[in-house]
Parts: sequence; structure tokens; C-alpha cells
Amino acid sequence: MADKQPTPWPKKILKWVLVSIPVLLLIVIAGAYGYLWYISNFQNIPELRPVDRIVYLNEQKNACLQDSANADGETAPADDDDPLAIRATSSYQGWCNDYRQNFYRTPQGTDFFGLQYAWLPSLERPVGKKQLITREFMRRLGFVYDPSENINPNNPLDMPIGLTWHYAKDSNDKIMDVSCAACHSGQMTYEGTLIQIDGSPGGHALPALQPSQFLPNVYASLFTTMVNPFKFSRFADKVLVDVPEKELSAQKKHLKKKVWSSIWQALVFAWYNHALYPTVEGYGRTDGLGRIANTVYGDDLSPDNYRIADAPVNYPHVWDIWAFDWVQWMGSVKQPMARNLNESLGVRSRLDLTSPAGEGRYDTSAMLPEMHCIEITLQHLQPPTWSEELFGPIDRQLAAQGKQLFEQTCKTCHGPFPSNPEIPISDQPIAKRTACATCHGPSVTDPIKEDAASDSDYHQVATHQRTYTAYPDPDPGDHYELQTKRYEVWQVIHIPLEYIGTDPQSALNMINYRYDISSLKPETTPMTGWEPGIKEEAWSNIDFATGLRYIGGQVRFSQYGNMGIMEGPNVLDRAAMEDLNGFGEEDNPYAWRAYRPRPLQGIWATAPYLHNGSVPSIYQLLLPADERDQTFYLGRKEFNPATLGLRVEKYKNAFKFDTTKTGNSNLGHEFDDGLCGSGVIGFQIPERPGFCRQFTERERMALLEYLKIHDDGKRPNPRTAPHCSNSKWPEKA
Amino acid sequence: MLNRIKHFSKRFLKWLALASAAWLGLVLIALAWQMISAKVRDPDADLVKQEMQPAVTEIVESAREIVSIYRTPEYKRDAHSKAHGCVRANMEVLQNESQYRYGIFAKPARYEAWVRFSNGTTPAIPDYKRDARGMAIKVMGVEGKQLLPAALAGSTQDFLMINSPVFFVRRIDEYQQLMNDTAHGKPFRYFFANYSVNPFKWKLRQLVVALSTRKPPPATPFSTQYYSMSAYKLGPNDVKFSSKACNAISTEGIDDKHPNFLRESLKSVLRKQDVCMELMVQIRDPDARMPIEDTTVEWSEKVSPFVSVARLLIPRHDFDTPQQNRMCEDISMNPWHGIAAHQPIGKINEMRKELYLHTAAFRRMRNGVMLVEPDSWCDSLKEYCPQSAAAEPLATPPPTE
Repeated sequence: MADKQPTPWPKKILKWVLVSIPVLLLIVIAGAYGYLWYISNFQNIPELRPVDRIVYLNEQKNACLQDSANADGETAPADDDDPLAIRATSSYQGWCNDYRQNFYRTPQGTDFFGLQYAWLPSLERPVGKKQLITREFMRRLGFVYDPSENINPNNPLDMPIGLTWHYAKDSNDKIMDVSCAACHSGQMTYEGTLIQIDGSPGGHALPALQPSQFLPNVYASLFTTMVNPFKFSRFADKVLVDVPEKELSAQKKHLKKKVWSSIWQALVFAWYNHALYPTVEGYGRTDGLGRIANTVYGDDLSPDNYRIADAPVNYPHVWDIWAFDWVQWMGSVKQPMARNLNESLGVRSRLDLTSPAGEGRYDTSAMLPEMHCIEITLQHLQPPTWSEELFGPIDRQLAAQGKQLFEQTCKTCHGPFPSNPEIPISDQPIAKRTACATCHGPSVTDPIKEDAASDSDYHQVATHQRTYTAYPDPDPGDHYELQTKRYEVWQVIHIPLEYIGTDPQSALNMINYRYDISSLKPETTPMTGWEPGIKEEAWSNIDFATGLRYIGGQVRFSQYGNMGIMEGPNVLDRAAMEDLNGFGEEDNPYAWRAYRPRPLQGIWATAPYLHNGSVPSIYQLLLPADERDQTFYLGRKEFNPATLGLRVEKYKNAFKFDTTKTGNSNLGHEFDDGLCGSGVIGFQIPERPGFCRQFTERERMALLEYLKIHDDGKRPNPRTAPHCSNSKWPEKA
Repeated sequence: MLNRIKHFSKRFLKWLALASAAWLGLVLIALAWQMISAKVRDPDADLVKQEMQPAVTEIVESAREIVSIYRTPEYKRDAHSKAHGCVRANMEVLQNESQYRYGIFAKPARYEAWVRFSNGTTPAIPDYKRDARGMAIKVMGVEGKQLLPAALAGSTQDFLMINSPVFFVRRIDEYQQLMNDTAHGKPFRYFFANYSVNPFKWKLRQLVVALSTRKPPPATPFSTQYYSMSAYKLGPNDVKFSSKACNAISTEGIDDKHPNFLRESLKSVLRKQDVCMELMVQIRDPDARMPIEDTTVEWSEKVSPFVSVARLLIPRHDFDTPQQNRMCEDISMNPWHGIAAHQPIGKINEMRKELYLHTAAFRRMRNGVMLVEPDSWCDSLKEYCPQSAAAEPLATPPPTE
């Protein structure tokens, strides 16, 4: 026997490689298959609970002419033999069916990686042949479906509310469009009854990248479809059902190209974005401003501009959103069309800011006239009213006590504060009526207050002027928060972070983050009036608000130019132009160190509460913070009329809301003992100024009872009839 | 096969040992780096421009949580929750040199005062464990412009000290993080940067300082020296305070194994003798390394020694009565209870204003106590009121002849 020779190194390595590669490959494939099986069977999303019936709120009988389910809002021609009353139907929350359908299905131009509308119902689960996008799956994810039995012709594939389509301008592809209603239409269940509440917060986790959620599952399915020829063949048969035989093979090739391109775009998105949102948003929340910034400054411009967005906020309710002078949770944006465009860009309307100047750099798929139509439609939406038949009767006596407490405690901040269009801006009621203590607390330790002779004095010397970093010479005399060009609005006040004490992350991110947009700096200074004079050095270090003001302004006016309404034969007159472009409001966004209280009619239907959704019910909102739930569970929206909130007990696959995570703090807006301020806002003891105490249980109950029936009084008159004249359902070009 | 596994695991263990040794080395380097850089840097450079808000608000909110969590069921202080007792004292201001003659030290005088001794840690731990010990003086009946608004001010001047010359937190945002972690029951998360594996992110120097503030117990609360840690105004000067016993206190027969032995030793000393403590002042030399913002840097006593400006005369008495203990829990010590001549300075002190006012008001209201600042012993406890004539039983009239 020869001596055993040591194996030479190259052979050893070769052996290792030959063995380990197949093993690793097997492990990867098994892991991937396991993952796909897992998400194909929706292992980690809540089960559905059955519902027996569906109700709408605020029924107004015989308020609407029965329409022909026509999304344009044109009613069927009246039949002379048919008495009007027979054709009249009910409106709900102030909306007739055509308004509702307009809201549900009017697209806004968003485009998720070129995902096409027709693909959705044709997709199979990543593993198996079962259909992926079903009512069951989408409802388990928190999407809601139109309860109406009339089929909207613009919803041919039975998609959840807000999921609709538009034709892409360049390719004519029928793109899936996530419109306003997707996040601002909600449903709650209560003991087997499904309640449709238009304009209430949505409950899905659309942007989530967690397993089984919408986007991961759709793209896993698209990927398996592409790598599995049998799956692709079934998919293509469904998608290309109308294609004539002789074009079929060409169309299949085209489809393959489109799907691969969409998968690639989704992967690029995931590559850059997967680690940007460390605080899991969960159901019903998204870091709106953070995502807008990462999309516009990051995806659309430069990867250097990505910033951690760890401050998820609730989808706000929208039945009075159009009425305010300042919107967003921080009250940071004024111009309605600017806000709508920002939102639309954040929900991935196409924009490519890297394209050269003058060559469509500011062209976007966002559809401004359609968004204007949606906004106008919302002006006619009413807050939901409490249904005694469903949730039980109101104790009127208790509610009357609650009303007193409300006026003493809540109304001072929550308003509403209607502006009076007949008097000068500086004399608006909000300036006169609001004492310093309203926003800053009865801060007995505040030395400013001692120096000011009176509250009105204080208003004159208050440091309410903005100090833009990006603009030279801010006008020191401007009281920006008092300005509005709209006729009638509800003014909002800003409560500083240190008084309200709620999680500051959302405001701080907007205040502190800076972005580099120097590649957008125009060669020559444009002459147009709206062009902000951004300082030379600020282009590479611009704040969220100013940067979006610039980009958004360019995008809006470039689209108006493309529409031919700025000049030429189709030019709009000044009034129509102002109406379209945010009702003539100036775009003066600003990151206040503050949050904004809203009027409270219908607030019982918008749980969970606070801007970050960290308090599951109004009852807990009236408690000291240490008695609130530290963790609770979200996923299904089962209403709890006893607490005016959601049922948040633990159940299988629910999302665990952990209030100790960054951005999730449930502190602040407290009714607690001690000095008022630093998160304690009430109940302010009249005989001991500056001191607060807890509510008694009876007081809490009284307030809850009253909030069920609270009425904000007369709403501002938007002076608009619903008109969607600029917006036609998009035709194939 | 078995041999192979053995061989492999041996190599793996070796590798593991090497890696952990390297990592430990990194920890040591990180510690050295932090200690040296703290000695070299301009200590206040990064501290003067700190944003106070909303960090202070979050600190207050965390403090409320801490007070709620550690209620017993009584709501205690968020720090120094365990008092050994509040003793009666007279503050006797000495005839001082001109640079010390400001505020209450301007001229010789005698004030009534309360002195509270305490353990630093919340929740309370046994006295024999390592801990910071606190001494707080409330001087009453003080003249001068109070720092707090009228609704909250009295006529008091408080001095708050612990038995370490330095505090371990430098920045407001760090303090916020620490309070937040403490409120969630995980104070060590703060020092180890959320348990990061990277030791350079850890706050090792702060941990060393924090551990050094936790000292073995003194035999009696009089047997250690107390320091204000943060800086105050004294007229035009910036100063730190300190206090220690005038003479060594006999510690014979003290059983230092009892969980509450500091209260017992305080009692036994005051049963036998009057105690004198000095209140001393160290004036800041602006040219020396004596920072105002960075409370982790000690002011050198070589450059500027502590000089006695007043004496606390604690009479022999029994302070451990239910009434006096009740009063001891209800009063609030706050560096901002005081006059403008002794104004607390620096961001940490600024933060303490909001923090102490809010936690005191919170804890008192939760305990159902409504209290304003006392202006004399009698105002705090009726036991110490001079026997008024009306209350005295009428003297028996002399028999008529």
C-alpha cells in the first residue's frame, strides 16, 4: 500500500465547491419555496370575521335621483311616466351614489412599478393555482369593498375601494392606480354588522413589505409566474383573453417584457427602501411625509437623499379636510393642490427628476384635474352620525354634562374657528379669540407671559414669524398662520410639541431633515411670480417644505402648461385657474414645531387616536398616559361603543402595536394630576391656575357620551358646486 | 468522523476565544478613547447650543411614568425616593469675605432650615448597598427676588447635593434617553447604546462615572461629603456648593448591615449630640478647566478650594416622628426654589426646573397633598410652633389674700 498522499489544495477546494454549491442551492430553493408557501397561504394575516349585514350612516331619504351608476355623475334621462319620487334614492353622509362612485374610482395617477390593472385578478398565488387577489385576501389585509350592488363600470374587476386604473401616457398601459379612497375610506364591524364610513381612515398596510402583504405577495406571484412556464401560460390566457389568435405570440412576448420590467422596478424600490422604515407601520398607518420625501428626493432624484422615516401616522379622516387653512398632522401645508400633488407623488405617481431640464423633467403621471374633482366631491361629504339603532341609545342627560365639559376643555383647541371673510385677516377671530394659553398652556413658568401686559399684547410680540433657512430675508412682520386667500375656512391652531407632549418624531423629522436638490437648480432665474427665491447655498441643503414647494410648483405648472390651460385657445380664466390650482391659496408650507387639533364631529369613527394611532380609544385618550395600553393589537376594526375605539385584545396574527418603539409613543394629550404642560393639557383646575387634574370616571363617561353626538355647527361654505368638468374618465389616447 | 468533529470544534473554540479577546480589547480601547478624549476636549463646546425642547417634555413624561411605576402605593420622588429623615437645622451665615457676600451669604444671619438625607436610587434599595447619598437643604424665610413665578414660589432657598462631585450625564438628549430607558425598566440599555455590539457606541465613560457615584454607605449621613455637581450663580461669580460635617462624628456601635441603618444611625447620633455641618462654596476660575455645562468634569479644588460660608446647626432632637416623616415626604426640593442671586446655571439645571416642578406637583396631587413652600419650622409642623399664649392652659391666678 502506498503512503497516503495529502490531497493537493486545488483539488480540496474543488471538492468543497462541488459539494457545497448544490447543497447551498438546495437550501436556498427550499427556503424560497417555504417562504412562498407561507405567503401563499396567508399565514400571518388576521382571519376574517363573517358579517350579516352592511349599513351606511346619515341616511337621508329620497335625496338623490336614482342614477344609472354612471361614474360621470350624469343621471339617467327622466321618464315622463315615472313619478320623481319612485326614482329617488337615499344619500348617505351627504353623498349620492354618483359622488361616492366618483370618489371610489377616480384615479389620481399613481403607478406602482408599472403594475397593470388587468394583471391583478389573473394572478395565482405564488404556490398553487388558486387566485391571489380575492375579496377574502384583500379584506384580510384591511382593504374594503364597495358594498353597493351596482357595479361601477370603472370597477370592472371588482377591486377594493380606491384601487382603480388609468392609462399611462407614454405606453397606454392600463396601470393600477391607488387613489385617495384607498386610504381614506373605512369600514368598521360591530357585532356582525359592517359599517361603511366614507372618509374615515383606511385599515390596510399597503406599503408594507412584510410577508403576505399586498406588494410582496403580488410580486412573488409575478416572479413565480415568470419562472414557471405553466403558470405564465395560464396568466397570459387570462390577461390576453381579448387578443386575436394571430397577435397572441407577439402580445405574450410584450407581456413578458412588461412583467419583467415591473419586477425589476419593484426590486430597485425594495433595494433602496427596505431599511428606511424601522418602525413597522402596521395596519392603518404610514409615514406619509417620510415616504413623500424618500420618494421625491430619493427614488425620483438621488439615493443620497434617503432618510430614515420612523414616524408612522394614521391615515386621517377627510370629511372636513378641505375646510382647513392648514392641513397635515403638523399643520404644515396650506395649498390644497400642492398637498394633493405631494401625496400623489408619495404614493408613487411617476416623476423622474433625473431627466435633463426642459425634457419633461417635471412631467408626472399625477392627474391634477382628477384630484381637484375628488377634493370638490369631498366638500359634500358629511361626518358620520352615531346610529342609536346600531350602537345603543344616547343618554341625553349625561351628554349634556359632557357638552359643558367639552366647551370648557376641548373646544378651546379643537374649535372649529370659522374665519369671517368680511373682515381683514389680522382681525380674524382666531387672532382675537385665542389666548396664548390656548396653544402654549397655562404655563406659569413662562417668563414671556409675565412681560406681556396682556394676551393681545403677546400676540403682537409673539415670535410667530417663520424663519426659513432656504429664503433670504423672511418678512419679520408676517403672521403667516393667519393668511388665507380662500373665502371661508376653518382656521386651525398649532399646539407646540412641548405643550401637547405627543410623539415628536413626525414633526422633528420634517423639521430636521435636509435634502440635496442642487441638480434641479435652474440655470437662469425664472421670472414667474411663484418662483421662490431660494438662497444659493440652500439648494444642496434644503428643508422638506421648501424643496417640495419648489418641485411641486414646477410639476403643477408644467402640467397646467401641458394641458394648454395657461395660454392658447383653451386658456382658463383667472377664477377657473385659481379654483383648479388649490382655490387660489398660496403654497407656503412650513414645518411647525407643533401638531394641529381638528374639530371633533364624527371623531368616534376614526380610532385609533393621536397622529400616530398610539391610543386605541377616546376613553384612553382621556386617561393619564400611564393607564393607557402599552401594547395593543390591530388588524380588524371591530368597534367598541363603550370606549369609542377599537377592540384591541390579542388575537391570532394581529399586528402588535408597541408604544415603546420610536415614533409610537402614547404619551401626551393627557388629563392628569400636577402642573399643566409637558404633555398634560387638562383638566385645568379653575381655582388653581396652572394646575391640572385627572377627569373623574363620570366626567370621562359624560365626554364620551357627548362626543357621540357632538356637532361642529355650520361648516364653511366652499362656494363650489360639485364639478368635475376638467376631469373626464381617462380614455385610451 | 468523530475525530473530525472534535478537531473542528477545537478550532472553532480557539477561533471564538481569539475573537472574544479581540472584542474585549476593542472595549478597552473604546473606554480608553472615551476617557482620554473627555480629558482633552473643550468640555462645554458641544453643550452650549443644545435644543431643550421637546427633550425636556419627554423627560418630564418619563419621570411621571417612573413615579407611577414605583409607587408604594404612595407616589414617591422619581429620584432620591428613600429619605433617611428630614432634620431641623439652623443655618448660620458666617462673616464672609467680600467675594462671597451675595444672596443669603451677604451678612451674618440665622435661618430656620430643613435638611433631608436620602439614597439616590429609585426604587429604594437597602442602605448597605452601593448608592448615591443625597443631602438637600431648604432654608426658609429668605429675602430676595424668587426665581419661580409667584404662584409656585415661597421664601425658600434650596441646596441640593449628593456625595459625588460629578454627575454622569452630559447632554439633555442623553438624559432623555436615560429617563426613557429607566421608565421602561432598562437603564443599562442607555449605557450600552441599545445593546449595540459596537463598543465605541457605548457610553463607557459615563458608566464609569455613574458607578463611581454609587459609593459604599457612610457610617452615618454625616460621615460623607456632599457636592452640588452643577453650577450656580453667586452674585457675579459662578460657584459649586459642598457640605460636610464640621468635626468627625463618632460612629461607634453602628450596625451597618441593617437595610435602614442610615436612618437608625442618624437617629442615634442626634439622640446623643448636636451636629454642625459646613456649607462651602467653590468659586469658578473662568480660565481654568471648570466647565458650567459639562457636569461630568470636576472643578479642581487645587485651583479653587471650597471655602466655608455658613454652618448648619442641627440640634439634638427626635426627627423620626410620623408628623415629621410625613412632612419630609411632602416637601419638594428644587434648585429653582431660590433667589436670583443663587440662580442655577447650565442646561442640566434648566431642565431640572421643569422636571422637578412637574414631578413634585404630580406626586403631591396623586398623594392628595396641597402644599406651598413653607417659610418656617412652624409653617411646616405645628409641633415646632412657639407655644402661643392662647393655647397655653391659663396659669392659675395667685390666690387672693
